[in-house]
Amino acid sequence: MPALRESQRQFTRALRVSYIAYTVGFLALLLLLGWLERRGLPRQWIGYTFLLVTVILYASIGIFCRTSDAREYYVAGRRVPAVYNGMATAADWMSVASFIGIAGTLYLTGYSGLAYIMGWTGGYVLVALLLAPYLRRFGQYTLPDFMGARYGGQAARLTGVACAVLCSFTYLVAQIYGVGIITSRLTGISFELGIFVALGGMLVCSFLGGMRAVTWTQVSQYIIMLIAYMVPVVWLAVKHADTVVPQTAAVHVMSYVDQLNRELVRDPQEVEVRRLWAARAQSMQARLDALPQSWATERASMRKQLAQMQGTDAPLVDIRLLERELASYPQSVADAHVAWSRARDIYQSRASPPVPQSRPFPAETAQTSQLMQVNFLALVFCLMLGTAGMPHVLTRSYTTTTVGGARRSVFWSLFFIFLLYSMAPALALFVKYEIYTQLVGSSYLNLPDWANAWSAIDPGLLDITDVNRDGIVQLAEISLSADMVVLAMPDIGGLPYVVAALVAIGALAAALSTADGLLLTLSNALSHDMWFRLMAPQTQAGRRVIVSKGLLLVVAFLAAWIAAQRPADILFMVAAAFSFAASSFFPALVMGIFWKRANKWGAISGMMAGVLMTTFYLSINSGFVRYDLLQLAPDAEPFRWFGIEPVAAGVFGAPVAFATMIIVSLLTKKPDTATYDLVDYIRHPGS
Amino acid sequence: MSNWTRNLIIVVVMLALWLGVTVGVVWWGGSHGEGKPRTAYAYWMAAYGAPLCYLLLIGLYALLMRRRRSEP
Repeated sequence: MPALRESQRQFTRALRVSYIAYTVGFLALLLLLGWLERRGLPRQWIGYTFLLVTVILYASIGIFCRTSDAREYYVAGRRVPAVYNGMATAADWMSVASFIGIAGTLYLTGYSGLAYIMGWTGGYVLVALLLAPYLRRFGQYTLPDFMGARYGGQAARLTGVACAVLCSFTYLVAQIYGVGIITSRLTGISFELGIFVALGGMLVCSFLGGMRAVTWTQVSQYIIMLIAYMVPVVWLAVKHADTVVPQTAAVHVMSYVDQLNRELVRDPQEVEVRRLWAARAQSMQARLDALPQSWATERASMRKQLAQMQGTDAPLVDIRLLERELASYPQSVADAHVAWSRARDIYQSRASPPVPQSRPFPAETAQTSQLMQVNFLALVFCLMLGTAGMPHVLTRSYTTTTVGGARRSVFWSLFFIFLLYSMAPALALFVKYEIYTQLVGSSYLNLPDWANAWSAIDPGLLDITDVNRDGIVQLAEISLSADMVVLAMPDIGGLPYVVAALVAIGALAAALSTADGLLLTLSNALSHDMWFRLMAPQTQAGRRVIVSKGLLLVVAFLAAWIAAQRPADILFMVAAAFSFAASSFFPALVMGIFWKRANKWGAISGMMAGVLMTTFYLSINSGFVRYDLLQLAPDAEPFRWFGIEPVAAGVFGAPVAFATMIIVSLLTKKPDTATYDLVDYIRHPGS
Repeated sequence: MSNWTRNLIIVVVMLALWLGVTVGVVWWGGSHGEGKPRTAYAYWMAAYGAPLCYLLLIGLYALLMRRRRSEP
């Protein structure tokens, strides 16, 4: 034992030295590229260098850590020190949605966006108190392993596999989609090619070295993510508030932003622009009401108008606008219904005054405000339970050295996650301040370069239209997507290009690290828990890892293929993944540890009931079910319980799952003594 | 009192604190949001206060369990 401890100590020391060297090396590269940019290195080159260096780095860690040993492949040899496991979990956890999305959401929705910060941090309390130490004590490879051992029989294990696939796969598609967008933005290659380049970087790591390679890559990815987030935010903090601590700078900037916001709500020009948007929304509504006739008449009138304009030397801009509108005119009445409803919603949202940044639950009536509060709380709890049920995060508790290490590892995870999350409100505020003071009120003739560049990529990301034709930018004329707030922040703040490339690289690291973790969870569930247990239990240890790797490839390509189809509802899918995790894994695991009487039938039916409940609440509110299956009128009242939005469907799924587990367990046979012993073993603190 | 019972008590107390912090911050935000616009307390409580409390709770739990184990 002392020899083992000594070797572990040496291992930790070697780790510290390599990661410090790595961090210093990366910072040196950053400075070098910054210097080269000043000397005139083309931007494209900076992007390529960053992309190449980091992908090669991740790949070489993958190659260096390649393994075919099962213990190393599945749980990194169980010798990851708590701090590093925390860092790896943080990288595993923080997806593109965290890295790019949170600050963007805070920018757009103000206080409401904080539900994500509270939910995604609070969930770790549940992980630490209820799950991590016990899973480590149990000490197998996967979550379905636990389900199988605790509840006995293949049925419980298979239900676990199904839930793991359900939660992880949708999430994986979203990550790969994000990677595609970032690489194509960074280097200018096409979206589809971007997906497959990134897929290569991801696979080389998880495919060769399994959990071992993924762990050490994730630590290095976390370091890049932290630097990528910190450099621009600290830079802007110094610029705006003369302090290097972005968190205190944010408090300082908040009062200005709130003040500017109040002025912009009252400003007569702004009011006029919002009125114009509302008028557009109304005319769209009128078109919708007149369907199906309006589909033909509208097109005819547009053609007539175009001919008239071309005959009378109307301004070229207007002709172009009308031409573009005609070119994208809906192909059928059904298409028109979809397109016009979407246009109406967009116009309506642009007609609403800017959301106050700091005020919680801003609404006209107390009732609406209360409803927002209830929804906020529901989303927070749904995200918390979902976090504590996400298989790719929970498997990370298997990789620590001891049970105590698992507890400390959760602490470090949250520490590293919060380090990044605490900068998100600052980032959102700095961007808002720049937009309010630099862009709003400037002339359309000299829009900043970044505004032109980003709206050229995709008007969905940034759209600035001179609605009232006064030549001056009004806030209501700017539409910004949440995704671009972080990526464009260095441009908006006037930072050098090297910082913009750094942020993109950070986002890439966030996506790759999460994708790696998910990929491994998925392929392990399929190979370890399904293939070997059910189909080929005689497979030898060496062959098992090979089969796992093969399945990993299949899953990766399938996910990449789906991502390449550009599914529309990515955000919805991510939210759904959390609700599913909250209503399947979380209840089954917690009950398995804390209630001995919980049995196989309880667990299986509980997980199914939870997932069904969540599916029901999500689908009854989806457009497909409402309008196509049930043939509801477009303006029919949405289906709501307690007014809770479908995003937080897990708050209904989880209680249903718990209740079903208790009732069914009590109605069926007690678990056998072996199960009681197993639970006792897990609960015992042990060595 | 068995080890497990003591652990359960700690877990239940911690969970109660976790619930209290979460509901408290949101409820308080709803009723005090209007107060002083210059400071935006409610916003910073939800952005920094709550996550820091969570971090503290986890750290405390890890410490308590570690100390308990070193007892005879």
